[in-house]
Amino acid sequence: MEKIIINIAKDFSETPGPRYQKDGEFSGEEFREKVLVPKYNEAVEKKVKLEINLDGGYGYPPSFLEEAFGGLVRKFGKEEVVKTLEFVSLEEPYLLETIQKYMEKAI
Amino acid sequence: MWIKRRNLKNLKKRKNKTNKSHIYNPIENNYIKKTKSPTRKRDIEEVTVFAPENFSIINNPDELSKFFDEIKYYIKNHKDNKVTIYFDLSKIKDVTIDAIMYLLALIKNLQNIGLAKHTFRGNLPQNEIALEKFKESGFLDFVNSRVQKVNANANKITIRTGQSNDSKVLKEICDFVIEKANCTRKNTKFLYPLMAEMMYNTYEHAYDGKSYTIKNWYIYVECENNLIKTTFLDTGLGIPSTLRKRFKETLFGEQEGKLLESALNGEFRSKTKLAYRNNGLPTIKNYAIKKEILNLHLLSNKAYCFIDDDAKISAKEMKNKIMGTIFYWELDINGMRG
Repeated sequence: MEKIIINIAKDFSETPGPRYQKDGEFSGEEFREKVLVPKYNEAVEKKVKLEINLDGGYGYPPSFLEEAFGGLVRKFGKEEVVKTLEFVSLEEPYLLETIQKYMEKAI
Repeated sequence: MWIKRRNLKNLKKRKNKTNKSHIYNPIENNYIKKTKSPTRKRDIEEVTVFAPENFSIINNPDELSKFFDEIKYYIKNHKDNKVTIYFDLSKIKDVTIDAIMYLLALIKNLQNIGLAKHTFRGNLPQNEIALEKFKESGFLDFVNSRVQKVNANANKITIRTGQSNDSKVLKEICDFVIEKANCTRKNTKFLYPLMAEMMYNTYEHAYDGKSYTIKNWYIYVECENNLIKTTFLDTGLGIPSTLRKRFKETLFGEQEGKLLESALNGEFRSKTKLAYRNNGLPTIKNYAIKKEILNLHLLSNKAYCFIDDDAKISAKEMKNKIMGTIFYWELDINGMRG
């Protein structure tokens, strides 16, 4: 089955930054607006899954993850986002639960 | 005779004016001595600040918090007239990096108070070990000095400072740990977000915008005796003050040590509508309990918390308040490869 893949370390940065763009480089907001939203729209349009690969970087600050994925839910609604996104992390499998929590509690 | 009387009158007036603008509480004054008093209006007052022998906030919190508080108090009361402050560090025998970083941050902040631009001068410890510690910390990179700087030491990342997240510094520290512990990036994945959140909190929560303090964090890392030792500090509001500000009604009268312990235990998460916020301190505590980080010391305002090897939190109240927050922790390089 066809799917669109984003590898955050390769397609955005190995060193993710703060929550907002105003707070520093490689922010969650910047990732969401420049990388995630265009690919998300493409996936929704093509009716395919969007796979987010979290491996390869130095680590993820919680505020980066919340702003990126919680922010996506705030923008497009939980149901559609949860249906479209798939996460892969062999290096930090606990991140999947963390992100799920952020998406569920996004307000 | 008239001229003489007039001159005497003027002199008296000048003296009164001088005295008025130099009010500070002499009872509190243990570490500061006036070394030059202004006799004419254009003269600059000079005071000498004598640093304690045990120059360590972590090991000597009550004396150091009093020492720094006294300097801050003095400068605040001299914000409109220029003063030369001479730091006599010559008697220092024992020193830890937290006090060196705090001294740098304090000087940077105090230059920001009032209209008068104070001058800061000083010497270095006579004790060779203490002197070496000052040199190797990178202290001399932040001040003008004729003392010869030491070459970069492969076992230390000298004091770095910045605002908000600094990916370059975070990467540098993670690469340092990977090299020293001979581990992979996977083993430092917990460290990156830990330090990133500390930096971000400095920018986002640690300062209220009204204070004279500069929104900077400071970090220093060294590898010694198979341990990677990290010190992080900011000179912002401090965690107890931030909690009091945010949860005004419920926290009135609480001891600061207890407040900090509650924050480490995650007791404030439920009090905010944003459930994903306030996770930083409980996460740090969990790393300490899982022994991924060792010997965790956390000092903020009057609160001092320590998590020992049995994962027991000890909280106490310091006699005086420090500005902001200090974190110190260790990583066992032999335990990093797991």
